[in-house]
Amino acid sequence: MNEIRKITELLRKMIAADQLKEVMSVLQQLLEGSPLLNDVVILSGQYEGLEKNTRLGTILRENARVEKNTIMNALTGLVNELEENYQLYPVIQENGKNYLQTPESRVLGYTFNEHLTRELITAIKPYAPAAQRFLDKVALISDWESKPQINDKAKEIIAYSFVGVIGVQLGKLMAIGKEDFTADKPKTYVEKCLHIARQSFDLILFSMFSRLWDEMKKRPLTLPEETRKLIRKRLDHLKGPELDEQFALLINLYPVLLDINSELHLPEIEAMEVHLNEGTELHQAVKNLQKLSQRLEQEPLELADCAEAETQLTVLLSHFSFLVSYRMASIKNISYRQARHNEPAYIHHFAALGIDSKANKDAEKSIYTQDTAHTDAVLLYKGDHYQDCIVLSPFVIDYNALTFEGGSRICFYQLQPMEEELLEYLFLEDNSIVNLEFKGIQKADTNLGDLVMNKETYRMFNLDCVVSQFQEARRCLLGDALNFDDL
Amino acid sequence: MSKKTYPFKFLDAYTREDHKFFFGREDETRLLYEMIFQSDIILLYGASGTGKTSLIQCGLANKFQTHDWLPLFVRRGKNLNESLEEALRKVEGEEQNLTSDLEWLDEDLNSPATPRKPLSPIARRLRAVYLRFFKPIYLIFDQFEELYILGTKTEQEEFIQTVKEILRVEQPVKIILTLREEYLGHLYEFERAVPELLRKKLRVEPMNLDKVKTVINNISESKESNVRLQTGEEDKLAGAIFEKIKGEEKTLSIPLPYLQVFMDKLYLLATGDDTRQADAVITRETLNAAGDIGDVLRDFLEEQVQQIAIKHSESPASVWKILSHFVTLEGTKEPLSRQNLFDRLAGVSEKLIENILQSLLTSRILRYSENEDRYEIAHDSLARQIHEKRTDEEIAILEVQRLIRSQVALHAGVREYFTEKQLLFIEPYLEKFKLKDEEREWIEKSREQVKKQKEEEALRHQQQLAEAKKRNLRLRALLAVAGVALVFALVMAVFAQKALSDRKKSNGEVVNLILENANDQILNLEYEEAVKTIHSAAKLKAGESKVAQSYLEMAFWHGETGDTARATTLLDSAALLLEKPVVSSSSLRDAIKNLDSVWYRHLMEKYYPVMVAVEGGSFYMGCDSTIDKNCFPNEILHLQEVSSFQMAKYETTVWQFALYCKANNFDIKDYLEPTWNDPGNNPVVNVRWYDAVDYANWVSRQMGVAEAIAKDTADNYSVNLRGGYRLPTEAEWEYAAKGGIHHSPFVYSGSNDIDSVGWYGKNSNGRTHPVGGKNPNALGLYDMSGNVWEWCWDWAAVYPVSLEKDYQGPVSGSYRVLRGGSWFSTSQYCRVARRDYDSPEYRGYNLGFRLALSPPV
Repeated sequence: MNEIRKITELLRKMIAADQLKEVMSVLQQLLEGSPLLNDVVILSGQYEGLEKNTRLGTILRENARVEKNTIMNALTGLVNELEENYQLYPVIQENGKNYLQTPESRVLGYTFNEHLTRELITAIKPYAPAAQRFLDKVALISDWESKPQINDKAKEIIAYSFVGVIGVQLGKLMAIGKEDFTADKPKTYVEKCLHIARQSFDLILFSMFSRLWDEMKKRPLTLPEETRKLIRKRLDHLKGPELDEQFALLINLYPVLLDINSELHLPEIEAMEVHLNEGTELHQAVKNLQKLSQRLEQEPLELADCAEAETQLTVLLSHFSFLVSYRMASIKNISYRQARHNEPAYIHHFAALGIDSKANKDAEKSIYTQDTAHTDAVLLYKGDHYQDCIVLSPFVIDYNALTFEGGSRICFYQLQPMEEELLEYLFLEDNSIVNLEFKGIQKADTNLGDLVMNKETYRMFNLDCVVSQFQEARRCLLGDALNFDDL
Repeated sequence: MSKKTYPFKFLDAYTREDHKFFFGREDETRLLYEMIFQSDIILLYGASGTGKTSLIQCGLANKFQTHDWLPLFVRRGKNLNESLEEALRKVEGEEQNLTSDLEWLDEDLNSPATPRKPLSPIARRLRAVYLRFFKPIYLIFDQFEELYILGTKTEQEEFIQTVKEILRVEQPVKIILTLREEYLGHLYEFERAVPELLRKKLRVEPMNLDKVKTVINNISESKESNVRLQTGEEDKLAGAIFEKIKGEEKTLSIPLPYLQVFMDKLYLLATGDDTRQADAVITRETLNAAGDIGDVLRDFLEEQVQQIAIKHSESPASVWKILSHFVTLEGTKEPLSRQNLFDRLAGVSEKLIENILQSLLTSRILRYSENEDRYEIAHDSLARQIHEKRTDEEIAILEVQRLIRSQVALHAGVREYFTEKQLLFIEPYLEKFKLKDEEREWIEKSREQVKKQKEEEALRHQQQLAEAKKRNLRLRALLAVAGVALVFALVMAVFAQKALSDRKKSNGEVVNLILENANDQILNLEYEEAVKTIHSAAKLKAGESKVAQSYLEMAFWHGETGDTARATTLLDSAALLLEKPVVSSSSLRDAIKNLDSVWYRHLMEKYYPVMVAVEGGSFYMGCDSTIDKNCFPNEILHLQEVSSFQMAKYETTVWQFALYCKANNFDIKDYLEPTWNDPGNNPVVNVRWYDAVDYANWVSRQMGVAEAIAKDTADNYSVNLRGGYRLPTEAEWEYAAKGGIHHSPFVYSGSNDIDSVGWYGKNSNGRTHPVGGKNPNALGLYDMSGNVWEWCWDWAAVYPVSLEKDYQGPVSGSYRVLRGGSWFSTSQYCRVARRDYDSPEYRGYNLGFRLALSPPV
């Protein structure tokens, strides 16, 4: 009985969520061998006919709605009948037990991204006015999570609110969740959860590296050995970053930055200090995600793994919800203007980064200002102006800006395979690798004016600069020199 | 071990699932994928048969994970804009109208105080699709040249506007166009409107020997392919295949359809298995057995057509004739529905057509799209072959059909008749195909028109002679008569005499002529003379109702100016003619209304402003640089809100203002431009701001409503926006000019084409023009751009920074706002966002005004 009730409750939920096709598929499996099967087959035929007519436009919308309601009512009736009189059909009980053993039965209990959406929209509330207003609006709507229109709005707010590239990745996670179920879906979903987790950590860590580098350029500092070890592990890693190592690095870097300067670039981290310890909920989430990461290549993943990944990512992003108050931009180029007897000024051309950013040149924005900015830099900042920002380059680069192309191609530093004398960056859009090899285009006798006249050599010069800067930052942070520094 | 499958696609494009056999396009795929992140619009072009569609459907598709893109392939179908809408509608799912308690879902919750700019239908649809899938949307317009081959100018323009809108939406949406390179030149207008169109473009080159070898060798080596080349001979065989297809042509490349069709032929020679299940080994012998292949596609086509003809006991010519309809005059594909084909092949049995269609599908010459319910040639390369088989007569028929279709496709209001020359061209072929009723009617009407034109031309000659005679007679009459009163009597006599003697006109016609003269006098504000002319007409005892209407107008005019005694006399004259009593106790207006209510309404609309209701709302005031490239710094885009009000349909006319002058003992001549001879239906000019507000209060009094404008002892004016007639505030003016709730996205009021909506420097010939002569805007308001500058209520100042409702401008200032530009202005000044101002004391021959009124009726 319990099995049947469990299934019927879920079937009702699915009818309410308009998943009629799926309901009929489950019912056909449950009612196999029972006289009620005919009813489902007939309803399936009706529904398919309705879908075809709707597709071809040969049925009035109103009539289609009426017909669909009739099918929904009939299905509800069948589910009721199943629940009330299941003992009349012993085969159904047997089918029910068998069905619950199948992998697809797990689909019934789990809706992709529902938990994440519900939790994150609340978590980002302090930083995102849209989330606050959304929650005010749904305060009186019970079970809003199961209403697709409202749920999609919440997803939209989350994806559009989270800082630049992380928001884009969350949009992709939502897209995966909405795709039809296939055998590959659990793996794709878990992979995306792990990417988002790693990139969120990297964004914070890179901003800390950046800050630390700036400080160390101003005054000599020696970092604790453990911290240096962890930084080295991240920068000289021959594999991509691991979540547990990222977490350990965060725990170690935070007090260092606190010691050298009370003014953190990400002041919100101070508020989450208590979570930056082993054994905390955040740490547990990292460990659980790390476990999933290890299983990823070894065994097939199931829906339960998706639910686990979603839950742990939700914990992690809830702790990093302050990222919502940040924005990202990529400086495309800077020009200089000074009219006679007038104050000089710079014109910064930059592209905002996020789901809603466009790839067209026309979508780039300009600021006319007396402030300077780093060229070809990817910035993390708060508010409307990026003057007070964290420069993420060379840890985060916009490959398109460096190569004078429109649009943005944001890449995170990934690793450096030492023997090949190049840096590997990860293009976040598709997790493909972008290699930056130092070409040494600028020789001792190179005329820089000539070099920048040629677009191709100028491009190489820009990419060389990224590699040089990275080595400089690395040398500074680690306080030592490896063979790669001498390029 | 995976099952081996047939690796060639014949004339179909490769799809995502065919990636295991898709070779030779690795570089192009990589470049295309990189471009995706460099621009939101990408052009993929190349010659026919270079595999553009395959590059997207297979190459690019495999670069993405399924959650990374939502590709929507759009073919033109009947109309590209409709097809796009349909494609989006299909993926959007069932439209879910928001219940009132969920309308907030459409709001921008980041700043709810600022209402989201109303989304255009396409933007709304794209947002819905994005929220449904959360995937970047890729709109892929395949075979985009169809828009230029088969589409109308209107369809092309509409599509450009749609693309501009798509590029502005917040959601990640990208556009890919595939185009045959010979149509690149057609993109001129498109590129002007969307400059980024050609910034990222990729040419797909035909395949050269190396690439063809790559394709064949890779397929041969693939473990999943059931076709392979003889071991050890692969390279030589691949080279020989290339040479065979190339034939005698001095070219370094071959079109892919040729390769596909030839490989299919080799396969069949090697296996004889038309299910394409068997494994095939292509050897030198197979190649030799293919013989001297000549033109692979032509041979294939001829062979298939021959077989189909035999199967249906028809001549090959009949099959070619059917195929011919699927090819444009330019030799490209033209998709057709079954019904289209039946219509074009009038007289041929529909059953036979059906059967041949089926055979053409089976032989893979035609392809059927269930979505669009259309048949089309499987590939443009085949279309060219079919085109070359056409006879001169077939080509002529197609030209005739195109001519007729393109003409009749235009809306009847703007459609031109066929000329005599065109009719001569089309007549011999009309029986050779079936015309639609509308087309037949239009040809018939054109014939009549040509006939009528000829008759009119003859008549015009006659009339010119008669006119000359008439002018001589008038001149003679004027010279002969000493007194003004006699002039009219003589004119009447001349008209009557001329009518009776020369042209045998009836008294009624003479009356019409005299009344026309009276109307001219009214147009020129010569009311006294007009009364005398009407008296002359009355004496002829004909056309009584028309004469009575003229009397009624004179009565109305005198009554409104305060000359009640004169008005009553004129009213009696009208009543006498109409043989109706005057209701003595009623007001003059009521009395006129009783005698002829329709005419009364006409007079009210002629001498007082006609008001149009404008539903209130919020809008972006100022210049939107996405619409208008000529924004001025003082036209900052900001949000404003106005309550509902009414706006005069036309600028205040000379007739209307003259009535006010007469009633208040002012001289209208002070407002008329001396050299213009201003007719009454032109907008009044030379009006100071003070004159305009005084006029507004007078109209309020005349209409029996409270005055809206007050003046204190210090000569400070104030306005009650809820009172009577007044000048519009600047916000009201701009709101109305932008179409009110319609939020028309135009540079000028009602259009982006100033010529269609306004009189301005380039088309005005140096003066004002009758109001309402150009097209109205979405609210039905005329001349909001051009003709005369219009005074607004506000003192001129920079725009307020915050959202204001019913903002009236600052409380004091030196200049009053002027809007809309004039006959004297360049088009820039006639933009809806353009602001100007002047001293309220200033009068100018290009300054007028129109009234506003609240609350709405």
